Amino acid sequence: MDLACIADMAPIYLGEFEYVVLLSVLHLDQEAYAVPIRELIEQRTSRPVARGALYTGLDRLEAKGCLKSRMGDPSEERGGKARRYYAVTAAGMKALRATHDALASMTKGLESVLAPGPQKAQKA
Amino acid sequence: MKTSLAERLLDVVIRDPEARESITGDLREEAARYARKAGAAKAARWQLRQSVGIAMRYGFVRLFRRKPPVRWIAMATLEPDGPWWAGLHRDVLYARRALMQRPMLSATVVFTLALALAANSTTFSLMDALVLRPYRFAGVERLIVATNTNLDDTFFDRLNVTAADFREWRERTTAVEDWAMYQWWDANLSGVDVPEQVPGFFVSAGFFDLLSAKPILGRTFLESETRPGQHQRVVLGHGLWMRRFASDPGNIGTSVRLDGEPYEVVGVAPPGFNTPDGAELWAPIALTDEQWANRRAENFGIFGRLREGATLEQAQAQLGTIVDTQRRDYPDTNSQRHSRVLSFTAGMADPGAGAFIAVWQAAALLLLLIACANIANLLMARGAERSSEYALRLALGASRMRLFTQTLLEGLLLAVVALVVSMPLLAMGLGLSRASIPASVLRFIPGWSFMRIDLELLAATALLGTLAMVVFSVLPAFQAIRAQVSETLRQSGRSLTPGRNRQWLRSALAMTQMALALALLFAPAMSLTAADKTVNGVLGFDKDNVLVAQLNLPERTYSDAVVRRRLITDVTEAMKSIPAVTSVGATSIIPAALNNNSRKIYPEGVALTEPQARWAQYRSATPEFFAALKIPLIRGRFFDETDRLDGPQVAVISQAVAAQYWGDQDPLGKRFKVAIDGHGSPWWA
Repeated sequence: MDLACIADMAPIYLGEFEYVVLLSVLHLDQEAYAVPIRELIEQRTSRPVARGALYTGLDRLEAKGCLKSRMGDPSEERGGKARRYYAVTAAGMKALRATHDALASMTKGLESVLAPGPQKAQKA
Repeated sequence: MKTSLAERLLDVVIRDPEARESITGDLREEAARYARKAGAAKAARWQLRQSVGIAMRYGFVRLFRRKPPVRWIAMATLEPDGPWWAGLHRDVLYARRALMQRPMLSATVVFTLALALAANSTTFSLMDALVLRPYRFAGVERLIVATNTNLDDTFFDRLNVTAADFREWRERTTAVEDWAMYQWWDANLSGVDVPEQVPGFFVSAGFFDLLSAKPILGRTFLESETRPGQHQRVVLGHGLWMRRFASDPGNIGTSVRLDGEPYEVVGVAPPGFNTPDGAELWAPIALTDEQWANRRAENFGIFGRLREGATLEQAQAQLGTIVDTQRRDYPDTNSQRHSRVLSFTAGMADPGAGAFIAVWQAAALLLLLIACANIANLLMARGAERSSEYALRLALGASRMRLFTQTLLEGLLLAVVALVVSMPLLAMGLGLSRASIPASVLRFIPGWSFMRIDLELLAATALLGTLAMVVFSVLPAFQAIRAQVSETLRQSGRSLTPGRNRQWLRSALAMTQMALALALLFAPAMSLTAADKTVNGVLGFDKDNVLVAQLNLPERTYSDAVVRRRLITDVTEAMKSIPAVTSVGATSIIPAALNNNSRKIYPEGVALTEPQARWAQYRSATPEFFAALKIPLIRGRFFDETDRLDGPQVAVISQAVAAQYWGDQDPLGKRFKVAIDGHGSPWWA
């Protein structure tokens, strides 16, 4: 239970990093835990993500009600430790859409300026 | 094992078990993958690095910032607001939980406060033991010290008293029921394996009774033993008895040789008794009638015990009257003498020590104030973070008074914990202070054995801690009751930046802290400068690379000046042949050492009575003394081989003495006397 949720019924706005993390969780679907989430973000955005920052972000999103988590089963590969899997909640979806719409409406008309440049090199 | 170190670190900083398990697991998974690529050792290092990163960015942040405990808030608020004590138990529990919510913050506060408290109690203990109450025997509050003073001479403000003056004091005062006198005596203890100079005192018969010192063996002195001829009795100090006489009770009644004379041991003083000035043995003062009539030799220190109901002021007044009469009746000797009555503690204390330790105490108090400002600041930041909690409690019906006491209660809890934590620190501080005083000096410091943790010290620390608590939690408490309910709830979750008003308060706190810290920085800098001046500044000679050796010559063998001179020549010549030695000088008294020898100087052509003459430090020296210490010659010459025993007496004087006595005149060739009847012609240095 979180105080913010009691007092604050306004729509949740996502920060840029939160937005990216939520998208990453959506991409990974059933396999969304911290390790691949981080790898996916690094791969797609070509920018390094500190592990501590990611855990903090995941916590914050869960506290805001945008993510929910469950503990998986312990595995040999992890020395007997369990994974924590994340999934986007309904509130998370709402927030994602709101943020996406806001960004989309803000970029409308700027497509020619924002056209993909050579710096957007994709890694295989 | 580096891996386990990495995980232990995470175990410490991540309190939530699920988060801990998943994060540790993630790292293991990635480390295993990395190990296949780069080897196990590299992977282990990598894991440690990552763990530190996560601990810094994730773990600590979580420790310092947690969600407010809604359940507890509800619990604490639903309690009906009855009389103030109704919810007290609940409030204490709540305060404990609120503090445990942020363990690192609470630990920081506790440790800061504990350090400051320990510093304060350590200096307070020093102050109490060495300055305020160094003597704790029964009846010490009624004891006085009576001294002469010379109004013109601020340097020696506690002069000893002459026998004749004292006899009249004793006879004519009614406010003082009992008197004792003592006289300095450096006794040469011989007849035992190694001869030794022992700090001793001649004392009057009632001396020990006056100070409530009961001998642990034997007795003290009888009235009859203060007559010349029957006075060769001695009471040994407990330390001396243990050190030199192997704690043998059979020593009572035996004889020891002091200054070559046999003295019968009649008693052993109780352990720790070393009044005055670190005395280790005592013998009776035995004065002839002629000596009792002496008004010139200011030899005696005087103690007295006030009559029941009499005050220090009465004693001072009575003595003042007597001294006024003496000044009129004996203008030759007494014209400059005034008297002064002090409490025993004040009279026996080193006049500098109080001020010195007071500086420390002030510094420690400043430190505590800074700590309080710091803690208040931390708690206010924490209060800003908890404002939604306060607002919620207010919204649910808690009274503002309740929040106020709640915050104070949290402060009190912190102070209590800090008090407990400060105890071992205090013990350490006292141990360090004691260890920093060399044993040879310790003997002369009365009261050092009281430097320990006792109930009074605990009470003082507790009082200080409570005061500090009030200082540091009042501001956060006011902050708590000024919480704006609707505003805070609407904003909650957005930001932790405090409002403008609160920011103003916090910068005021920070400024106070800076100001105090500056003062704290300057105070030791200044005392260090002062110490530096004392040690290095005003010596007037170059102390670098100077070595000192001391010779104690037995008086009997070396009573003849010619024999002494030959020895000094032999020794200095022999030392000069050592290749590393550039020059060798000899002097009667080592400059800037613990003792000195002062004489009054009477310039020729100026009529000075004895009380008007000024003191000057005096020592005899060989010609090379000046070269060895690199003392610069300003005018005239130093001694040379022509200054012999049978030649004219010559002296080198300091610039200060020259200015004092001869002012603008050229002092070269001027003559002065160092006693009423000695003559010499000065040379100006």
